[in-house]
Amino acid sequence: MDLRRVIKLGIKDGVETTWELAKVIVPVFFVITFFKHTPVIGWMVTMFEPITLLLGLPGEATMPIVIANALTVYPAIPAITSFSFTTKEITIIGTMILLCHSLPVETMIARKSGANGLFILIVRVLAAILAGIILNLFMGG
Amino acid sequence: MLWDIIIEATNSSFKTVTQIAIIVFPIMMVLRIARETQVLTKVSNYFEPLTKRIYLSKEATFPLIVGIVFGLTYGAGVLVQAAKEGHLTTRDMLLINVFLGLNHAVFEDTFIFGAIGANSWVLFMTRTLLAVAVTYIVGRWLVSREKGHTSLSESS
Repeated sequence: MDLRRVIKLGIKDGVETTWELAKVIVPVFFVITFFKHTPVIGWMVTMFEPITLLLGLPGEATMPIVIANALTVYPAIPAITSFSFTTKEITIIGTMILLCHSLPVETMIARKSGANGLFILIVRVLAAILAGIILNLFMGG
Repeated sequence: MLWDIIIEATNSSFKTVTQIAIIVFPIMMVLRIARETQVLTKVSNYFEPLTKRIYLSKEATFPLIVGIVFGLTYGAGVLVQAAKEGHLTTRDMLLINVFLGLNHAVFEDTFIFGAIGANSWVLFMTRTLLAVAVTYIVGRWLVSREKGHTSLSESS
């Protein structure tokens, strides 16, 4: 193994990943900060809180979960850090998001690698809801 | 108000990107070393007894481990390659996709969410245990269905 080459590649991976993150995180921060100065977040909370409360989450959790599923995990990050969620809430949101995200793209990948895309999608959504319920019941904090 | 938004968004962007970059660099380095040394071909041998229990074949272990560590895109590449070589059954293909759908790129994801305030340990364990349990259930269902089919065809 050529150590210098590997270190160079590792740094390159780091720069690329951070850049990919920054590219989506920064614009999303601007959009969310803008909405926080409007009544839109309040409407969202009233509308979805009855559902999110079942998972032990405030209505604001709707935003990262929807963003992660429709887009990817990275833009959901500013939607988490923009609000003051507790450790338990971030853990629940994070677990749900990581089980079930980027549905348009990843369902396509599943289909291409020889599985029934719809089946994988249903399994993921159910697993995420189940994880939310379990963590809400059993996680302290 | 516009000025407030710009300042607030810039500050939070800078803070979050730095927080994550600090985590991402060491992880990318470790993952790159793992990829270059091909350590996973050895590691995957140790997992064969475990993957067997969730109804995967021996050949399915390597693509599964690659997906868990490096992510879905890279894992799918290895999976398609293994399928072309003809070692994988239809059941393997479905079960790997079930498992990886729920649980891929675990190190990267777990640490990034840890950096923004999640309990990484709880997150990692919940995700992994759920993936194992769901794959086991689906695997069992597939096996019993396969058995059902063969016994039906035998009797007819």
